[in-house]
Amino acid sequence: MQKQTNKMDCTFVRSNLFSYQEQQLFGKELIEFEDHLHSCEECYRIVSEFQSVTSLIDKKKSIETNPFIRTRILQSIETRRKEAGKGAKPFTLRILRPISLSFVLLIAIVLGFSIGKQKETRLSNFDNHQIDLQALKTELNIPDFIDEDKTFFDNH
Amino acid sequence: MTEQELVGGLINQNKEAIQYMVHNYQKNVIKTAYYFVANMEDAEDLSQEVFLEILKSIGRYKKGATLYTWIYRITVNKSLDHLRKQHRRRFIQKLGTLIQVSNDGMNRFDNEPAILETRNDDKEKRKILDNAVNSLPENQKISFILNKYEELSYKEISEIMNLSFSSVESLIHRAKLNLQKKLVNHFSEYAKTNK
Repeated sequence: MQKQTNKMDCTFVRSNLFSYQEQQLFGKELIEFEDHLHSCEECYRIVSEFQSVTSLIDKKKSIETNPFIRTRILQSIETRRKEAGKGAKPFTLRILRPISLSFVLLIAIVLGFSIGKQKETRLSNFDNHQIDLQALKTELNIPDFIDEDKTFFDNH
Repeated sequence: MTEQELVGGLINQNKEAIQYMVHNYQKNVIKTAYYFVANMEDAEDLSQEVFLEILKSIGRYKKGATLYTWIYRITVNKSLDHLRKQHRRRFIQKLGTLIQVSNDGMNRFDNEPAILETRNDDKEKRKILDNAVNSLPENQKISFILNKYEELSYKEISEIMNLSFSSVESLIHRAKLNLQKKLVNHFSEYAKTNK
């Protein structure tokens, strides 16, 4: 094969490979395309390689599937359905359980707050009581016997 | 069993309907998945997922489309998901290898076999074709595979892809142009390196 100049350029050939393969080139175009292949070694090689690679599309179409795959598919469907059946929770578990748990949690939080507040009130009442007692003691000149006793016992 | 009866049976999880569906659609589902993932084992695993998905979402099936169009759509989506996951896995593996290479202080790629030398084998040609098809933009790839491998009409593809007839026509045309460009580049590169 000799390299010659041809009316049709390589770009046309290389951008119409599918059209040529699918027999979508007609008349003058087809004749010039094939003439070019006879005169251009590089395009001839590319067209051959292209046809050889794309012929695999037809080979791929004729694949045979595993005859046992149907049983496998049906088995896997059955297994999944059983699993789903086991895993399916009744309404009480699905809806009522989270609602009741949230309710209990809410009650616990409210209870915690109210207990905390009560303690705080009691402590502040006790402090006020102490202040009143001290004021009364000072007013009536009553000594802090308890503290003195405590000091006495601590010393002896 | 008519399509309507089949859909009704599947909604009720009727055993006979399930068997009928698997019997009638398994081959197409496996083949379509295989055209996308290029591995028979993966295609078979995917077919199981497809049928389970059909049973799970049969309630959402709209009567406007034919059942087989809907099944094709699920198969294509599952196959694309699989390819995306595979791509991510490969990327992580590559990253791991690169880290290992830098740790070992040696270049692993020096030891890789020369792929191009065995290029004439069918296996190698298939690899070239699969790589070229997989590198197409997603919609071009789907329409090309459904048209060239599945031999579906433009109308059927437009129903599966939810696109207009002319969009599918244009997608397939662009897919072919891109594919031949990629293959021509590949062959020219190969010729240059082997001169």
